[in-house]
Amino acid sequence: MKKILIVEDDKRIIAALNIRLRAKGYDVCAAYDSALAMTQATAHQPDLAILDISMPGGDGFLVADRLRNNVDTARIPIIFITALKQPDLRDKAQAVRAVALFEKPFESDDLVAAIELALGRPPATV
Amino acid sequence: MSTTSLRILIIDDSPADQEIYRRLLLENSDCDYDFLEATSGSSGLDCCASEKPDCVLLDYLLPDLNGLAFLSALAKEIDTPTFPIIMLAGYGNELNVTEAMRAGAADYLPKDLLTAENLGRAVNNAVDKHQSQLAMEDQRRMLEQTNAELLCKSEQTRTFYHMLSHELKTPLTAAREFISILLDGLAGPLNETQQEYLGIAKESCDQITLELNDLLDVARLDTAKLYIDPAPFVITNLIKRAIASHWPMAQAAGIDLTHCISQDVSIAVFDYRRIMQVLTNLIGNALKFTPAGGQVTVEACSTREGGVQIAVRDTGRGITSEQRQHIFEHLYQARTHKEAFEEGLGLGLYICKEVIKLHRGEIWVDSVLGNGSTFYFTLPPSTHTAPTGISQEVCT
Repeated sequence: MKKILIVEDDKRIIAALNIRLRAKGYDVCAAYDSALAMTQATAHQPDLAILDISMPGGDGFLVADRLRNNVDTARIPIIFITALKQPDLRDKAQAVRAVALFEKPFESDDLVAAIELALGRPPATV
Repeated sequence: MSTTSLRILIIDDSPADQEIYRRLLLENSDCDYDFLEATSGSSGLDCCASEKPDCVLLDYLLPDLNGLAFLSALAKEIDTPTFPIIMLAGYGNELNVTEAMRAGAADYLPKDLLTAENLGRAVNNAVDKHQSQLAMEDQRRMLEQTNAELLCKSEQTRTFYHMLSHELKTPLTAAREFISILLDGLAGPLNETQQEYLGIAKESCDQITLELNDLLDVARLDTAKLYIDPAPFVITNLIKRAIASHWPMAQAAGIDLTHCISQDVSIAVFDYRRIMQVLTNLIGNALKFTPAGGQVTVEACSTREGGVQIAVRDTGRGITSEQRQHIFEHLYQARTHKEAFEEGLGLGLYICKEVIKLHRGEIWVDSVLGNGSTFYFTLPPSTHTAPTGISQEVCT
């Protein structure tokens, strides 16, 4: 089962994504801030990471840099989600080789489609 | 001249000449004078710094400095002198007036032509003019400061809007996602009524998002921070995609949504997201104000100048001539209060106008009350050379 790491400081969004992604057949692990993100990434070795951009104590780009600089997580696909609306975010996301960036509120079908595209094949629906 | 007593600093090495200036000035009955004297350039400079006179009478030929060297030394000591300097030169030492003025003198008088009248007038004029200049400079500085404060405030407002939007969108995302989870049956089956109600809740979330994004755009426009990033795109693709995304809404409302694109329309250079935003806004409005059974058509044709004209035509209730005049204005909705609940914040058309303006195009509306409306906008011909790559789509 493919594992997805969600790094997001809003626990309600984590809860919703958890329901959605588990229903789609993914295993989910989560972190509420950038510090915990690396602990979770190292412990769980996720196949993909969904990173919120604006978080207290270190933003999603910082997490992306750390993931890229860790040999075990350097190659995992990254999808950013953000409630920010700044024109340079897409460029920054591309700079860390993110596969997609979704503005909040996102359409969950689009997010799932991006995950499926990044992970190569649609998982078996539970 | 409102000042009745003026402090005049006389810098001249000749006591006789100093006495002449004093007497000539004192002949003017409309003004009192206090006199300060210096007999060399260096003592004159000290006096300028310490005594702050209202006006300086400066002999051009001083034992240690000439008048021009004095002015240059003074400029080094005092950034903006609070007093004017009138240069006086004796016979045989006449100075080019332009040269003296360029060096910073307020006026120039030849010593041998001095009279009570012309010296008095020169002093009063120079003091008046200098004070006006200082007042203007003060005003300019105040305006500059006010401008800086306003810019700072509007930047703070923009930042506030961004924070507000961020803080509202986060819980909105959770709310919308949980609604979607229910709608998708992930928490169990729903009956038809429950589905309908949750659908309304989800649409409401999307409406809030649109309004928040409009607020952010307006904040950007207000601080001149809304930029466009034009590239060549196929017009047909833009229109088809806009129609496809409104298709479910049109179907639900029982409206026939179609397009009609002239064969001569192909590529234009524009910011895809922003023009899509304009089109989405116009189509959305057309659908909102057209009753079931009506028709909304998106048309595109070339302009005579080689640009593109896009029109969104509806068979809705139309717009009054009064509304037509103001419909693209910022905060028009807030001013009128009419139908505010039906039409949202009313920022959409203002944003459309500004986006089209950024593209150097035009936007307008034709409408007859009761007979539908047509919103037009143009994209001018591209100034780009032949496009190297034409983007068919824009990725998420």
